[in-house]
Amino acid sequence: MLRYIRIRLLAMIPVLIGMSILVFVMMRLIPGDAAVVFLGTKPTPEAVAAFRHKAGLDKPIYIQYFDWIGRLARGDLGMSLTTGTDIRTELTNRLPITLELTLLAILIAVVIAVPLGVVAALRHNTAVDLGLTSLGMVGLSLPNFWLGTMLVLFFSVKEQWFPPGGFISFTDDPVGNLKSMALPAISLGVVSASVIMRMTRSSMLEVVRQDYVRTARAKGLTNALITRRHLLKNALIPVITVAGMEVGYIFGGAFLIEAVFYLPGIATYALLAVNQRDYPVLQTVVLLVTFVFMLINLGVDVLYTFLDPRLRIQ
Amino acid sequence: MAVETMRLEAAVGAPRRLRTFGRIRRNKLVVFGGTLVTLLVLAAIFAPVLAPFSPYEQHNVDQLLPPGGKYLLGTDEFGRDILSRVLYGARISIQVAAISVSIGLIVGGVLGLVASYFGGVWDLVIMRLADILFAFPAILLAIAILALLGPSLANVMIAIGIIFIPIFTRVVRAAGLVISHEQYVEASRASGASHVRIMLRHMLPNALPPILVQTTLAISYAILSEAALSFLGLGAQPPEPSWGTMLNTGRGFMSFAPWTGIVPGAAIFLAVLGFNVLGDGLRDILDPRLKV
Repeated sequence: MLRYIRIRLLAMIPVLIGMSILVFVMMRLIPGDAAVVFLGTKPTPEAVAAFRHKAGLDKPIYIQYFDWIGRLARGDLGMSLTTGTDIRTELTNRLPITLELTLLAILIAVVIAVPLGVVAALRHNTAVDLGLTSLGMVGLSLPNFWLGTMLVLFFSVKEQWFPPGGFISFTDDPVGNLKSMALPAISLGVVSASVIMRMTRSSMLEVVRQDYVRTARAKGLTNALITRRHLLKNALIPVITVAGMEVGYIFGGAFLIEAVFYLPGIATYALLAVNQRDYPVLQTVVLLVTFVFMLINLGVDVLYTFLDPRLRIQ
Repeated sequence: MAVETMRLEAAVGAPRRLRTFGRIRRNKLVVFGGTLVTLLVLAAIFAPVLAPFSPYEQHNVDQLLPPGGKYLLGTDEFGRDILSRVLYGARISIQVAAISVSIGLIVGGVLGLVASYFGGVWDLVIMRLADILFAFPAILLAIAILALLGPSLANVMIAIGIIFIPIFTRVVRAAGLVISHEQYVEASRASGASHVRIMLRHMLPNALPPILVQTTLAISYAILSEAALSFLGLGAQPPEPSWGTMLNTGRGFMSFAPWTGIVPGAAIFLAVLGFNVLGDGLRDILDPRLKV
């Protein structure tokens, strides 16, 4: 197992290097001089030269790249061009919000999806199955940013059960925090719930046809026991993989939901950086988010290998 | 040779095609999804005929009117007819989907064919480049590309197209790897056919079923992504009648004019649903191993 993780981590290195070069070059190609962004529309040539020297922009591009990577490796993420604040401090404040949103969303998705997927499979080819499958397709096609807007309309504007946006820290007010995160997490979780439900259903149907299930039934075990001991245990392995992959998608989807609910997470930070052409912020956020995304995918693969002994032997 | 081929096609090919067509017609998912997609395409094509008003025409005395009467789906904050804007919005969605999927399909298809046919270094380099693009969360990559190119509808098409490149590369390569070892490819190679001819005449047609399924699903993703990026202000700019832009501006009036947000969102949902259902149905018929 450790060898597998080591190989996967090593395989990530070339992808990370390629990705960092791509991000760095893309950000350098953004039209508009960073000095103009920082110093205003009509800076003096001396001020521009001084800024470019201070920011290291007068060095050859490959030196700038290695400087940036070197600083990243030492934990120095640089400064924002527009606000002059430390990017690391901003990310430390914002990343927990995005991670909380992601975790709550995947929790909601799994809690909704797995029982519904199991019911759909156990009632295969009945009206219940058809209804749940159709519901899954509807959920899959719902734009999360529209669902979020609709939830605000019904549960914040009309009923005033939840705040329409903004963020309350968990340490300040735990109930207020959960209330402020409920609608964003549901908006994100519903689409993933549809994906996980479809996977649970098809995975259960696959396992139902296995010989060991027929044997269990022939032995006279009750349906509940067969479902619990034989079906779920085996059917849930691919479901966990899909759920893990959904964590990555939810993390990406947070970019829209944070905008809908005005959550001060990492996505809002990136969008602000795009609008202000703050490329140091944008390149660091893109690289960091992609790195987290890759780590999540690796974690899922490791978990999958851990859960399925057949893969471990291979 | 030609006569033999025709005979063979008459004996095997045509009935098989008919059987496939029959299965497609009987599949309820394909019929439902196909109907939604046809309606969307018709709305896009005939928008100038169907729309009661110009999508940009402002009626200053009719601002934020609820659905009904002269304005079937109500009006927005400038008194523009929402029905007309939604119909013209279908044009934007279809256009973005067609162009972005074409970019992904053509570039990714060529790269996938080359990787699977030549293998070796070609395969290694192409697939590692695809891995790098694949490592980004899709929406984040699109945002980074739009930061570089600037917000506009044309740039959204390019950004979404780039997202599709590694996806189509993988799909075509996977299909191509199987096909490149088939006897008819070996035979064609032995008879002296050029690499390009083998790839285009033998490998591509046989890789079509998974490509077709992926294309349908990619179209739904393209429609959703265009709406999402325009919603974030990075795609179509006002007063363009993009569904995402309409939803974003409509959000500000939701408390007293909810139709300004409900209608464009419902349009996005129905279009995405249509292509998702159609894609699912086609997958069941053309690639039953992947049936969910």
